[in-house]
Amino acid sequence: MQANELFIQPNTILLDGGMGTMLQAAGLKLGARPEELNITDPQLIESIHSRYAAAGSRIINANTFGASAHKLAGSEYTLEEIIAAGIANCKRACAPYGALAALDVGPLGELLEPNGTLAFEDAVAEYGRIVRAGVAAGADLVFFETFTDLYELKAALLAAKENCDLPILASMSFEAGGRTFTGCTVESFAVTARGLGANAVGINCSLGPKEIFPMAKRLAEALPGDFPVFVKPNAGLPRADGSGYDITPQLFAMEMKPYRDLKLFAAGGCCGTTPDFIKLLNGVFADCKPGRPAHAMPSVLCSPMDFVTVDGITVVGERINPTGKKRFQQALREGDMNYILEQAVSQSEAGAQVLDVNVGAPGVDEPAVMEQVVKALQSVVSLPLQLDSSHADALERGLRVYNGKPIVNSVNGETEVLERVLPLCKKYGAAVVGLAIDERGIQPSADARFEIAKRVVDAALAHGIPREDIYIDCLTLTASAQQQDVLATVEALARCKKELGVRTILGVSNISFGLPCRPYLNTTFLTMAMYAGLDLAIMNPSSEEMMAAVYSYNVLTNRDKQSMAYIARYADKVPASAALKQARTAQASQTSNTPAEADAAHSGPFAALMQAVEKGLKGEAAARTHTLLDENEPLTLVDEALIPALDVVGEKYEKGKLFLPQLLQAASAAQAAFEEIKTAIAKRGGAGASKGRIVLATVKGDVHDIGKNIVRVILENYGFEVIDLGRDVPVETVVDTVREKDVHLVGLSALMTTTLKSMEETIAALHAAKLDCKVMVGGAVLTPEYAEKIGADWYAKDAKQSADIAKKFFGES
Amino acid sequence: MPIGPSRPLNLAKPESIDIRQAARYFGARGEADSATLTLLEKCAAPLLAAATPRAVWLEADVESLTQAGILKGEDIFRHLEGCSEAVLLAVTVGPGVDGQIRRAGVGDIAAGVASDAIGSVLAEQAADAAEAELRQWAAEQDKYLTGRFSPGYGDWPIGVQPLVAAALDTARRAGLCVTENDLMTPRKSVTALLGLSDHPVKGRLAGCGHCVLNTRCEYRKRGKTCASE
Repeated sequence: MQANELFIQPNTILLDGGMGTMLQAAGLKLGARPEELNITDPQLIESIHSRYAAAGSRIINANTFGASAHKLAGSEYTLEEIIAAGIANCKRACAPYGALAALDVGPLGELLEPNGTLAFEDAVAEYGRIVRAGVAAGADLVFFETFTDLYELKAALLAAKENCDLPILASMSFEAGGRTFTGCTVESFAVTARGLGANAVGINCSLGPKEIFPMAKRLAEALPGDFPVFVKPNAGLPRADGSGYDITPQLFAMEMKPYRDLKLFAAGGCCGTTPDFIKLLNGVFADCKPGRPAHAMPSVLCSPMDFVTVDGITVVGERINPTGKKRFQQALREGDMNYILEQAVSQSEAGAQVLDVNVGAPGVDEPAVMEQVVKALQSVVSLPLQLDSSHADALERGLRVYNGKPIVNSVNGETEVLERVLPLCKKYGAAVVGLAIDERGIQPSADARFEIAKRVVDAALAHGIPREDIYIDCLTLTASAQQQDVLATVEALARCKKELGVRTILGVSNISFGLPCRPYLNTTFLTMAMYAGLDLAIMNPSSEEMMAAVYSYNVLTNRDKQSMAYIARYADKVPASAALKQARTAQASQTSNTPAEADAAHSGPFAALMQAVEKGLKGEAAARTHTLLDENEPLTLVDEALIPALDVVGEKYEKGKLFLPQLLQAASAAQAAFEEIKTAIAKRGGAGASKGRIVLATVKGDVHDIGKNIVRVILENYGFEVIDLGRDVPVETVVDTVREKDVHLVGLSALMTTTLKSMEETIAALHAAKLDCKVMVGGAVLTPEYAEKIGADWYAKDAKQSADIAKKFFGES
Repeated sequence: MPIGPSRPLNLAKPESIDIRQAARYFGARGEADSATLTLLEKCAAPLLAAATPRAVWLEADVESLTQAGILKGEDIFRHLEGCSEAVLLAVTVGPGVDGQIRRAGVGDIAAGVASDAIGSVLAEQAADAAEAELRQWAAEQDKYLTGRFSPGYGDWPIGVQPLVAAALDTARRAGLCVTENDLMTPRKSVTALLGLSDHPVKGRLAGCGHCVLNTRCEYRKRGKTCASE
């Protein structure tokens, strides 16, 4: 068989079985690197491959599974040497049987960000090196297997596509619950790997044939009928005493029989299986033809954990967008990820199913920020993302680091835009939004918009994007300006849905721009559009009127069976109008109580706010700040309410009258109050509230950043501007930021003894760069003596002390 | 036996989280106030939902573990006195816990730190559950186990983590990896060694002498130890 004939075989072909199992039987010591045997005992490796080929395997995996730099650390051989020898051994064994030699590639052995420290691009580079070595050695195909992190698989697939033209097989390992260790679902794996250009996908390892079968079935169902699927189960489950696996070749063959119905492209075995297992599979799959009947493909978007089937109205949160929001623009310019993440978490909690992400604003490096924001978002929310930009570079940076199958917003009828953006969607396996607009601008008539939509659909199909991944936006016009054309949008939408067979999307809220009580118009327009067939509604999920329309629509169109979702959401709620009435009554009684509630320690107009901060009442602190801002300057509130309140808390903490939980709850309340203040300042266009700029970082190699996060919040609450570089921060990032942002105070944290040396290196680099900056350090294992030894200017024993240092440094006390 | 194969250990998810212990890790002294307890309870539910505890272990003789470079320093050998064999254990509560800790901390530092404390308790509860299983196994063999002793206790360096992880094949069997700086990821994970003997053994905790925190430990300042409180 030639590699190009791989997917046109008349029958299910056989893969090989376990390598580790065979090596252990041959006396490999536990903990020894099996890949080194490619060089030290090539005959042994070749003989194992030969036995599989003789048993009927037509794809043989070379002994290269663990040939990565991390796993080979300390080996006397390079991964190139190991792979060259491994492929050579495999090819010699394959030749007499016409089998194909696969470059076998497993996970790198390190967790990727955000759970580990391996950066995504470093993983791509590492896999690139492995793939190039395999190609140079003459591998017939690339076989990625035993992956448990979809993000790592994405890095591997990109590396393979960018470094070779060989067929790519991709396989993940699932637990009995149907998810991988990192929570990835079978379906998310299927559509993401297919989208990124894997030629076949499968499931291997972890479980036996019986346990894998239902997952393999789901895998097949999530893919088109002609898409190749394979499995490599273990020889049952591991025995409790660690002595191997629990089923015999005969039982394995019997349990593999149901897989005939899945019309697999290929089947083999993993841990515990031997040539005897493979031999019996010949009988099982002798006359089994690959390929399942064609079936309609659903429209889907996903992250590893969330798999969203767009079948009916689906809510896309619109809030991550700086247009017309000064506070958001400021956050983007300052790289304030926390503000953006708050928008994401609150929309997720309000019921958004997808999040739109737009970071275009004046003075913002959109491509760099898009990448940064996508990474930050997927570290805290699992909703699929809609990457929203007219900037192709920004889209590509976001698409590259996105983990799953996203949607791109948007292309339009302009040829140049289509040619620039559609190839990106294809390469990264994204769905795409097409706007029914072209170089002539918005067309008033429904017919004209439909014609543009048709052109966009044809172009997308021509670029290999399947119809189910195309979403047409017929453009929401503003009722206050183009009232006569509002219905044309709804009509065009209905036609696109019906005649083009694509999905539809609208930015709903634009309808009401310039008119009062916007939610009324938004809700009515949304309802009209839903009835015309709207699939994705870009809207504010915190608008309960609109969310209620979505939930009600699903009841009235018989989608929400027995009104289950509606009841779950609204069973213990009252309608918005009644809630408002209740709130007014409650507020009236609360206001009258305020003076009595106020602590004796405080008096004056800010007493209640100060008390709310001291007691750690988040919601109340924010609400009171909001009200006080009507009549007070923002900076007055900072200086006369927040800081004095925090000082009281800080003093009690130092005296041991209260402890970290109370200190932190007060900090959270002040944080919420401060957010109101920042919004007010941004709205008034005034200068920031900064009392000085500080860079914070948890040093390279350290992933424990809770202490640093506490310091950040306390410093911000005292009015300092903090540039938070995060954790595992490279030395040069700290140096560059200090230089570029003209920073004179740096705070570094490290929790572990093993990462103190990174702290020392960072300080040395700051000194070597002759930057005019002082350094304060903190962390559990640090001592004042050690801090001095490594050249720090201050040792801060806790967050309170770091604020004292900052105050002193910036000349406040 | 030399170093045995890595073996799975079935771990059920804890039914609830020890909130009192979490309050201590969060920094509360004595009885935590109601606001703190409420915050911890609120943070505990999503964290427990995100947890996916997994454990693997192996049986080995002390000599082989020493030869493999896994046992180093003095304290670990003191702990293993009277034991010619030992059990090596790795437990993780999974990456979902790290994700939920990050999420809880968005815009609310108190919830972030509270969640981190709960995550530590969860990892410990999972390790306790694993240890209980192992004790049962040992009893069935008429053998006895010491308590758990982890890399980083006393002078047993955390530099042995990569070797421990490799011996237990934790990356493949539990999704637990070790970074270049010997940190475990997911963060809320525990590795430990338990001495195994045919007569009752107690093991000896490291004491404070070799602890990296010995000059600044909050427990020591109050005349206590982290094990006693």
